[in-house]
Amino acid sequence: MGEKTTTAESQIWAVSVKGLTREYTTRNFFGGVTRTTWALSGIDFQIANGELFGLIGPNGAGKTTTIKILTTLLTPTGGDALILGLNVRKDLYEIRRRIGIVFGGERGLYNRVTAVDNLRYFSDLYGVDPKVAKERIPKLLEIVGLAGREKERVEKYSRGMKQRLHIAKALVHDPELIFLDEPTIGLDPAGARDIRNMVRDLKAQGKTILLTTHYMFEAEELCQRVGVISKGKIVALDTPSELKNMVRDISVIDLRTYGATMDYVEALRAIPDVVRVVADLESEQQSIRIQTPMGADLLPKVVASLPAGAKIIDRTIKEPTLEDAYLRLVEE
Amino acid sequence: MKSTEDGRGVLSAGSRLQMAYRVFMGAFFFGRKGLIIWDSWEMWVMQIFITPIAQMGFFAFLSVYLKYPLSVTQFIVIGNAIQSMSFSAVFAVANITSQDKWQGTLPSTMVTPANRAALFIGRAWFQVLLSSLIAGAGLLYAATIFGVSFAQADFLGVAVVVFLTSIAMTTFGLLISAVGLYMRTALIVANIFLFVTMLLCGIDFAVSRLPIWLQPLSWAIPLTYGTEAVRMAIAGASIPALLPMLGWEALDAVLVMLAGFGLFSGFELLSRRTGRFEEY
Ligand SMILES: Nc1ncnc2c1ncn2[C@@H]1O[C@H](COP(=O)(O)OP(=O)(O)O)[C@@H](O)[C@H]1O
Ligand SMILES: [Mg+2]
Repeated sequence: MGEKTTTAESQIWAVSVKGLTREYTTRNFFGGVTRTTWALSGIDFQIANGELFGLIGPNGAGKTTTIKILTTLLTPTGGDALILGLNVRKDLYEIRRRIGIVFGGERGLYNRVTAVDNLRYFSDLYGVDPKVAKERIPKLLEIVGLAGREKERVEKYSRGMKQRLHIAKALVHDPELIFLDEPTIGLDPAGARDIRNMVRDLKAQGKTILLTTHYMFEAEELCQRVGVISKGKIVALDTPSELKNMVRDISVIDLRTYGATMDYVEALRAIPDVVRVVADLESEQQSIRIQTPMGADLLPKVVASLPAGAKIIDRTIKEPTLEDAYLRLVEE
Repeated sequence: MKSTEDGRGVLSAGSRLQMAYRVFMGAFFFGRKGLIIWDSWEMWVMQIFITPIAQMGFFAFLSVYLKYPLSVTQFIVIGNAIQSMSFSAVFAVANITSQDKWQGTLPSTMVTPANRAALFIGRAWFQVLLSSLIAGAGLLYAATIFGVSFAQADFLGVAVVVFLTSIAMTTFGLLISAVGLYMRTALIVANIFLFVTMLLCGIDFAVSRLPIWLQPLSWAIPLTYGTEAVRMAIAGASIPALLPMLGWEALDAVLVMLAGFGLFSGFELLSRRTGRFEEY
């Protein structure tokens, strides 16, 4: 080992990805290929030491695939990735010692045993000195707000507690670089906020973090730079404010409605000067988001197209957010 | 992780060995709690005290019903006392990797630097001890209920055979568990294997009764040596006399272990290629 890994580049970049591709083939019983999916078709990005970098994109964009490759769980089909200057194809052992990974979702913990048992086991798997582990585990439990509950079986934990335990588990060996794959998915707002605060604290401790999410406000709130990934390609990569600059020309009308239908949404889309309409009509609280360069001047037309029986409960004119930039990017 | 790293953070061989030892011990203690689904004292009591008597009783009564001579019935009783460990040594162990898969803990496990051999072997080790207790209880029943005479027995010999056989059978459990890394479950294979041992390992009838072409297969399974050796020890053979049998059994166990670990490593590589760690 060793050649080309202490280059100047690896001193700066905690993660350096070049032309990374990954293809999934599904085979039938006889070994014939039935389907080929390009989950990643050549992505490039770098993450600086100490940076909190976000990868955002819709479901199926390739976020998890990227994380799996960078954490040595999946081999790339093509391209290169250096983690802390180490090669993801060869330096598995060294990379694994120095990174932590948090998977989103309910699974991935030993449910029949306690939080302490989970953390102790993973400490052992990471080869942490038992004396160090003994001091570190209570601290971690404190940090993730599970102190006092650590002797309970994980199966009794709420969704949010499990997610916090996931974070503690990723920290048992005090890694320099942490991957978080949609860590707030499925959490209630308070639970998600707790997780975001923990991520911020990790950043403050100088950890390098790669966070994936499909909540734009989360990326906007936390990340220094954001890569937008769509259909296996990075379609934009910049700071949240630079990305927002892309949609400077528009403003956003946010409607809360009652009884609105898809026909209404289509009618809104048909209005000249409407750039984009995103609607959620299924929830109790219907919401419609209209992007337009016209701002409040569009409102009369918006109201005029409203069908009988439908009501606008509330409307606000807003500055565009990262979400608006994102919507533009992933639709193109 | 003190001063054992070189400039680039590469660990010395000594500290890697120390870490592997931690993995082994961690996996040993945790395997029972977190991965063996039959982990509770009621289940241990059932496994240790009820499994052997149920199995031995069934075959003993079958033998009596068929009017076999007492010596045959006692042959069967001893064979089943030993074979009754196979649920805990093979079935439970074979389930370990599938458990990791079902609980979704396989990606978290495989992303650690844990020495795979220490991990693979460590977490089954508790079952070795349990299996010895089960076979021990079986032999106790053989003496107390089924009238097998231990008057001539070399007890040290019996103990060594039982322990070695527990290890050897567990290696088969591990071999089958490796399949669980790649396939959805290893339980079907484990179940088939349990019946194969019944057929091939000299449990209810001597291996020499099998068709000639099947016999080499019998001697590929460590249990065949263990069953033969335990009968010899009960009849009075001491350790030196048992040594050839034990030697073959140990060699067989090592080969099975290597095959199992080879399969495990191979499937790990394959799973990394295909992305199947979290499938369940
Ligand atoms: N094991 C797999 N086999 C086949 N296709 C897969 C597999 N894993 C992911 N994919 C496909 O690869 C694409 C990217 O998936 P993923 O990386 O999980 O996206 P994200 O995490 O952004 O939602 C999707 O189209 C998904 O269906
Ligand atoms: Mg994902």
